[in-house]
Amino acid sequence: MTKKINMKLFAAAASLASLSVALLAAELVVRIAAPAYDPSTLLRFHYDPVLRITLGPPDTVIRNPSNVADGSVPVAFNHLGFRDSREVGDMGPDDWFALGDSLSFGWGVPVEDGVVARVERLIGSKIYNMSIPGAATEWPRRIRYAIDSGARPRRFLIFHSMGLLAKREPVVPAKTSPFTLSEVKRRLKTHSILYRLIASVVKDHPLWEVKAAAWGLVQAKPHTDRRAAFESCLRTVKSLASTVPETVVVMLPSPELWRGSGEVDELYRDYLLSLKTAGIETVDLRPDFEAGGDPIEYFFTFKNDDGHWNVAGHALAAEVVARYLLNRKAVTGAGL
Amino acid sequence: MNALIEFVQFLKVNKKLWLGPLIFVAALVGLLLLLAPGSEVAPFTYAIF
Repeated sequence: MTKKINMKLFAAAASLASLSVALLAAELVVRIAAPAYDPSTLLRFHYDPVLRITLGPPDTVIRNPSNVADGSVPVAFNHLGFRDSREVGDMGPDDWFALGDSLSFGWGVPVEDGVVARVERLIGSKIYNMSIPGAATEWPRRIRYAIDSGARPRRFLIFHSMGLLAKREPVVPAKTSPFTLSEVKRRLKTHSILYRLIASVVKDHPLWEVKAAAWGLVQAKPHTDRRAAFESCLRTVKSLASTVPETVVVMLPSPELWRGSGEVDELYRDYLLSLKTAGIETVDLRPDFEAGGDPIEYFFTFKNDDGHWNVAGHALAAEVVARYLLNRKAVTGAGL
Repeated sequence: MNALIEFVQFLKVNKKLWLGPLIFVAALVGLLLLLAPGSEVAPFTYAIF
């Protein structure tokens, strides 16, 4: 009897040891075969619970494996946690203050290839880029944070993506025990390449994602009431435009517009119209993206639903925005 | 499916069930690398199948 129990215990221990060895080997193999999923090189933003804004890791240079399959790009953050290396305190009265999310942040592209740096070169005026992934409702606090650091924004250049209409500020989790499921998941997310690979594969297949969410393995995509988000974004932009009259909003079309979502198409048109009705200067990039025939070619295709521009997308966007700003100067006499 | 059952039985008879996790994880990693977004392995599977 005892011998039988010992045998069973031995078998269980051997299986456990085998599983541990297999998982360790798998971590190693994935690190070699798919380095893009390495969590230690993952560009991570944090939501500061005191400032209530999203920021990058201050004074850090990190290689962003990004959403491009053909390499990674270095991303440097300044001491404030923004990608712009310059000191915001040096901002002059004619300089622009750019706001936006991951698109104008330059997700997946070198900083000099991003839309903001390109516009700056084309118009010859400084644009301080305070873009970072985060909800539009954070913008007033982001501006306050920059002002407290010496910035004097007198002109806003807002790069308004459609993603902002579905983005909410994160809920700061309460401190939990290190042994809760959410804490274990958080640790796996930041340390295990195998976990990241599994999560990416599941999330890349919508049907699997739904199934995994139903089983409680992954968090279901929060259903965002886009109309409610629409109103809060619009309120934020209107409030900024009323504080700083020289505000230009660049509307960034989402690839969802061409992937058959009628709802997004309607939102886009409504939002643009609402901005114009409110007397806010707008630049619509959609016609220029559609002029080439296939707008999707301006977006990364590494993930099925990626809404970030590739280098060609940034170049086209910058060309249109710079053209607008240069014409604006010619017509109204406004400075650049 | 039959082959899989037979394989498990083979491991059982030969008292090599402890190999199960190793084989399962190896198969899982192979599959994940094929299905991963932007997989660099996927293009080569055409030659196999």
